[in-house]
Amino acid sequence: MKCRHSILTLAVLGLALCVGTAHAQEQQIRGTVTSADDNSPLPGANVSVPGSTVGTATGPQGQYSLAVPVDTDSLRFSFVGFQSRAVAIAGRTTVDVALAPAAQQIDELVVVGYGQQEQGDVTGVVNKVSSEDFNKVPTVSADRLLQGKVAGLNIKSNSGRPGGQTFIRIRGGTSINASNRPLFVIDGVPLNDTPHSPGGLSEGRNPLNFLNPNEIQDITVLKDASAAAIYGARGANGVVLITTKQGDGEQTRISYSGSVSSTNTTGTRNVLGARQYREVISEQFPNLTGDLGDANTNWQDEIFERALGQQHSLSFSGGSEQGDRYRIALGYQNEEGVLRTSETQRVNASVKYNRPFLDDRLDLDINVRGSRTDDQYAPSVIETAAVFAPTQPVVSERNEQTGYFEWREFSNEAENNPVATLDLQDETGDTYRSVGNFKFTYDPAFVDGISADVNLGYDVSTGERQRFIPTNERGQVEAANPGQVDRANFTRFTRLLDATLNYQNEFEGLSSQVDVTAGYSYQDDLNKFPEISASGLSSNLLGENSTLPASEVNTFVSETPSRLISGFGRVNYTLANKYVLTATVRRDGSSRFSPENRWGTFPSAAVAWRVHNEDFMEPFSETLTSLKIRGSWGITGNQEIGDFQYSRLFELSNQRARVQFGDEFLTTIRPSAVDQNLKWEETTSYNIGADYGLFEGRITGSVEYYRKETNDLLFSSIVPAGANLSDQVLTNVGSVRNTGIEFSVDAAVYETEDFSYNARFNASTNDNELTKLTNFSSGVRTGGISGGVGNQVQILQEGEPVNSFYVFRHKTDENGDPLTDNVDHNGDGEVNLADMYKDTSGDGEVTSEDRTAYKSPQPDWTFGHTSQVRYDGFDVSFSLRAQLGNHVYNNIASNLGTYNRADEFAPSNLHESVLETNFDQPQYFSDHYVEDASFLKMDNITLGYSFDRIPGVDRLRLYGSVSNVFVLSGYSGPEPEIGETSGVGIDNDVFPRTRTVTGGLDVQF
Amino acid sequence: MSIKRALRAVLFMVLAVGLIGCDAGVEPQSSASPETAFQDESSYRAFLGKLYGGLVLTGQDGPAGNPDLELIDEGFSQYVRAYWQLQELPTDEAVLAWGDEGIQPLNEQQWTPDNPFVEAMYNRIFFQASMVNEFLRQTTEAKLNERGVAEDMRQRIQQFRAEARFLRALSYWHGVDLFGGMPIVTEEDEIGLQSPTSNTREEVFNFVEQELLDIEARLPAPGSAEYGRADQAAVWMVLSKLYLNAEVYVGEARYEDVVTYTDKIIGSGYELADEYMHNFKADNHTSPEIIFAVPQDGEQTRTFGGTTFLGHAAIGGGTMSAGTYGFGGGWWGLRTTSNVVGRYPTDSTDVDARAIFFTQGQSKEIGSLTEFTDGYALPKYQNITTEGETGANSTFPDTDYPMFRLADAYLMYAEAVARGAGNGSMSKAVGLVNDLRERAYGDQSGTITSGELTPEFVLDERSRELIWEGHRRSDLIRSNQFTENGTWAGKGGDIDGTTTPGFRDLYPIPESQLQVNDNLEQNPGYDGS
Repeated sequence: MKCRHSILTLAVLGLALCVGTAHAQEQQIRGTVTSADDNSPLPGANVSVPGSTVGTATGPQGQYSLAVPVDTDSLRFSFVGFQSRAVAIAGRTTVDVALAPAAQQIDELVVVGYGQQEQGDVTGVVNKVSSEDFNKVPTVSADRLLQGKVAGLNIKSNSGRPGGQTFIRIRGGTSINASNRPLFVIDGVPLNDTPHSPGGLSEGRNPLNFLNPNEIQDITVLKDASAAAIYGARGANGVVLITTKQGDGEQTRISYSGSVSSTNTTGTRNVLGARQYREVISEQFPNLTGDLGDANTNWQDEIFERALGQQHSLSFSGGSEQGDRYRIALGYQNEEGVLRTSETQRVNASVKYNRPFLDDRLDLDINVRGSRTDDQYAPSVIETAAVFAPTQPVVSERNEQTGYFEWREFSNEAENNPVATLDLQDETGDTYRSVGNFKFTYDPAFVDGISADVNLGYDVSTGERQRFIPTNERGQVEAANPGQVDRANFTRFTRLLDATLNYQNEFEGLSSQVDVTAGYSYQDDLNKFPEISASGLSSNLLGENSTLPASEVNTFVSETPSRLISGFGRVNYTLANKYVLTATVRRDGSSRFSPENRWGTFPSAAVAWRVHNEDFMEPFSETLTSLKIRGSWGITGNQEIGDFQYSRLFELSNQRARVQFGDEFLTTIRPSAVDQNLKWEETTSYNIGADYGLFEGRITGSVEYYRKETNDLLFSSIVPAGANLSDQVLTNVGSVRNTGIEFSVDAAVYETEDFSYNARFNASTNDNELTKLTNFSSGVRTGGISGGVGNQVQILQEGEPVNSFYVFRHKTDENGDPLTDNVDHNGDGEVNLADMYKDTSGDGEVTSEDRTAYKSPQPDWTFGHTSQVRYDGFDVSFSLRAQLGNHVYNNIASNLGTYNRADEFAPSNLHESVLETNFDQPQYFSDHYVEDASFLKMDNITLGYSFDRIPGVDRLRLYGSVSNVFVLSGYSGPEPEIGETSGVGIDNDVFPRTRTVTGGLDVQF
Repeated sequence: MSIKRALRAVLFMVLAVGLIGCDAGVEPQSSASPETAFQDESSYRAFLGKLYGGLVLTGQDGPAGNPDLELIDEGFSQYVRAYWQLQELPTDEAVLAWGDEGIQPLNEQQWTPDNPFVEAMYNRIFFQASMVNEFLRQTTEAKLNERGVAEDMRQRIQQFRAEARFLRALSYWHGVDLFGGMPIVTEEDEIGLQSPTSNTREEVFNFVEQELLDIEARLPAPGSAEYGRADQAAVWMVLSKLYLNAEVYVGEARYEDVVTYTDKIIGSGYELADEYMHNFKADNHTSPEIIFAVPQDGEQTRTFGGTTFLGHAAIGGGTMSAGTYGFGGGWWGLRTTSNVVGRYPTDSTDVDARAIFFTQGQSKEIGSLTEFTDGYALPKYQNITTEGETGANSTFPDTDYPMFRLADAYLMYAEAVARGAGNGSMSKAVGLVNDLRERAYGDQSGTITSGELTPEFVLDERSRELIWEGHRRSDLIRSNQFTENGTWAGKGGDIDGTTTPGFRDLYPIPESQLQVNDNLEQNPGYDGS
């Protein structure tokens, strides 16, 4: 098939771009590349050795000269707008080639849903990032490869957690209660991508961790509805398509890449040091001085340490003359976390095999990958380490049980020694996961242009989480049943069958090309979560296997099936090589909705105008090489709400929630509160954009404007009391709108044989607004914080961005500092809220009504930049990323930055902000803690050197890199960019900033 | 190309698809659908358990998890805790130190319609009503016929249905007391998202009365129900409460009805416990005095509300040892005001066993509502047995919440007589009060005479006997001492206490409900806030 060859071309091209120097034991091949149309020379065409990095570009007269290894049997020629060709050398030293013009002038292939399209035919917003453009950082999960690379794609992570979750948003979040994560599809198999975090245990790791980033060929992001609507009820948050590497030639190739890295923390919490703390306590709380202790402990230093990592990937690829292609890859990765005891370790293997049968009419692709991940989780002690009194020692003889210092003078609400928690608790997890597919593609002889595909896919993961807390840990000593074991198994199984028919033809008489795809998809999921927990251990001997010595064993089983059945189709029609029309439709039936609302239809349409193919553009063709103007509309859905949300299920109570009837304790049943008319969220998107290419493609890029309106927003809505079985049910209310502009430019600023400079830049803005929230005219509180019970600092309010901060406006003194509490500033004889906070409602009183929506955690602007410089064998690249206008609520400061915190339970440390604010009582709802967290980060910088002329080695590159090189930010906490596990834009229990130094090598034989 | 052949290929694919199917439905595996839930007849009793459980538990996982209500922290949403806070915090009996949103306005009678605790109580009432309604819908004659339920089971289900209606009436009594008018939802209404129409306070009053009178005969005789379940005495207690406050609720004095029903209770076989404190300890299920308890258990019935809250929150300060009361620690929250202390002869149990103050390190007067050491602590609910044994778990007490106990019936009888109920006996009333005082004093040194038995005396005696048992707000309102009269620390937002407008005798309809239900009208006085 034509498509497949082009993919190879691409792969080779990509490699050819990276390095282009000659090798030892080689021969010189010369020749000229011309156009088959008019025999004119083609300057700037690529000439390369398939499957290697050897390559060059033709000169002004189309001539080239290339040193190739003596065993090279063919050369590949390609040029923008022409069909690529592989030509056998067959002993010649001069190889002249004529390239036939391609049907379209930009013929790079991109993967789209259920197929591939040539770049020129793409009418939607589809951004492809190839492996050579990935972030060159050691990463456990593949999504971080894209950070900063695609306009409108935001990726956040809690960077310190090895293999921790990432938070990915394409063009802002469309939902509040349903997922905002894009759909991930790997080689045609949609992934079960929800992190599994069993109750009570640490949050689960990133589900993408099973995939070895080194095995990814490219990642395509489908951003607008025209591109994503083919994924129907799962497309509203965009789609990320991952294509893995495959065997790319007959020759057997072995490559290895490996790296070692070291990570340090570079900024921790600003709490008081021991000396400072002593002073504050003796001044403010003389009664506590007796409990101070005489140690000087920096608890944060005690829990963080340098973390080491290493990764190794080995791959074999090759094929036979019959057209078999294989690739086998093995990988090992080990990454420690900066928080002591946390670690992740992965072993993975993959096999990709494809083979043509029946005179190339039947293609078989087999793709199996498997991994085992071992995780070591550290308990959540970051906040405790900030709080724990710095004047107490880590170890103390007075604690005979563990030897660690622990409070015993105060109630059990006093903090536990974080080091003891870290050392004594043991939490691990292992995950086995395999994702694969078998794909048959058949081109029947009897119809031209038609092909049929059957794709059988699966995604299975299984494993167990385990935690053991010994009886002598302080929290356990005081518990009723000391010692605890938790074990949570999980099995998730997805089966997939896709069948598609494709028809492509060109009708020359009508100047028309059509490409039609129709398909059917059946996906079945089953999640099983049996869990067991035991407490009251009479012995710690068996660790996490201590169910026998346990006085109490509790079990829990959850099993949920789900199913999605779909039919879909796409028509791509090109007229006169200038006008392109795409229309898609998908019909989904989802088990997540009642039979009445089960089926939904998701259409899209898009047009594109290839302006540069118009005659009137001829005069500008030297500068404006290409220009395509696009417009699209479409409807996508979001069904990520969990299963059976529409169905009134009777749920049993657990063994701690029984009801006493006489001497019996009765297990109860409760019908769930549901809206049986629930349906999916629908997002209607509009996009207008242009792709441009200047100076023969040396500068390319695009500009986009989009508007996404999400209606039937799924939201846990307040029930008119008495109407349903709880105070909230998930129902369809409200609307969200995201509008934005994106801009990107890629420039080959300078390019010669030994020096090149490439730069990429993107900028995007997204404006998020909750346009409607039925029944909630005064808003819904969100954003739970540390401190108090149930305190929330954010709001969902019509007309404001989702999760805007909801705070008082603090009055300031002449220096701009917030007025302190417990002072009658306004002299009315009373100390109350009016002394500190502004009366925003203007009613003469300051009450909770005076809190207003103020700033948003979402950035106004996001920028990404990558520079790549190559000189001789050296290559240098770096990535910068910036956000403007994102705000963070500093919960550590608001919770610990008040004097009364010091003596609330045991004497505990304070955030240094208290020295400036002098707050006695917590001012959780003050805008003082909502800070501008705009930042500029250098995500990574890499220096590499590629050796040539090493006998028997095709390629050898050594490199060193630093990630998280620097952060410039006005935010007072250590890290302005925080994940979303503890809330969006709420900074507590967040890992400190880290910096990783890596050294590595890539070699190919 | 041949169109026919292409069509044939398409047809082939369509057939293949047909073989796999187009049914996107699946069945739940680890919970039961309404069709399957009652295939097992034990489900009826399990569902009844949930109706009782709604008073003590907050969700299907104990102590927290899979919650019944979502709008508020799960522990805060517990029925007894929410009810207790609304009945006690705005009175002279209790202040709570915490800064959680909405707590200080309760201490100070400064709540607004968006107060989360007011909302939680309102929603708890309707959670109970909705669960009961669903139970009644699932147990209609038609449903039982359809499922072929056996006759003996049907008999038992008839009693279950009466108990369910008792629980609904109990909650609506709380509703009529706290909020006045509210929608009466019954099994006739459908489940969905339609706004129920509202009913007046009088209609709610009549509904509660009619329901209770209707089910009275279908419940077991006093003392013959399983522990934790309602018997006829429990019905009489709610009726007595309803009638005692009828003047407040509907402007009509019903003190003779109070005498009628409290008399039945007093003669029903319940007895005072020998020791006052027996009613509040880990083995209070053995107290002969408790008519209707909300049972908790350290192992099997765990909640962050109820006596877990009442026990922990009452402990704090520097010198109070949580272990003394069977708890692992204190939550530094609840104390009482000097008004309460002044009602007892001394501030210790030396004279009156009910003066269970902890004074060491605590000041009698309250300077700051948020400082635990301001105001005497009151460790009334204890996780130790009368034998001094600690409960099974030091976090989750075995102590049951005594919702109704005989002493309350005694004092209601006495109050009704003092307020002029013609069918009562003054000498009996005095005798009942003296029974309580003799138990408290250990001798007859505290007995009173009929001349002393005034409504004012009973109000004070109720505070002495029933302190922190969730009655005080209603008692004060009945005597018009809650808002426009009476001062204590923090009342009205003044640390020395000041009077408040009378509209605060009712709580506001939660703001969130006004937004979702156009049929509701805000209670007077709250419109502008």
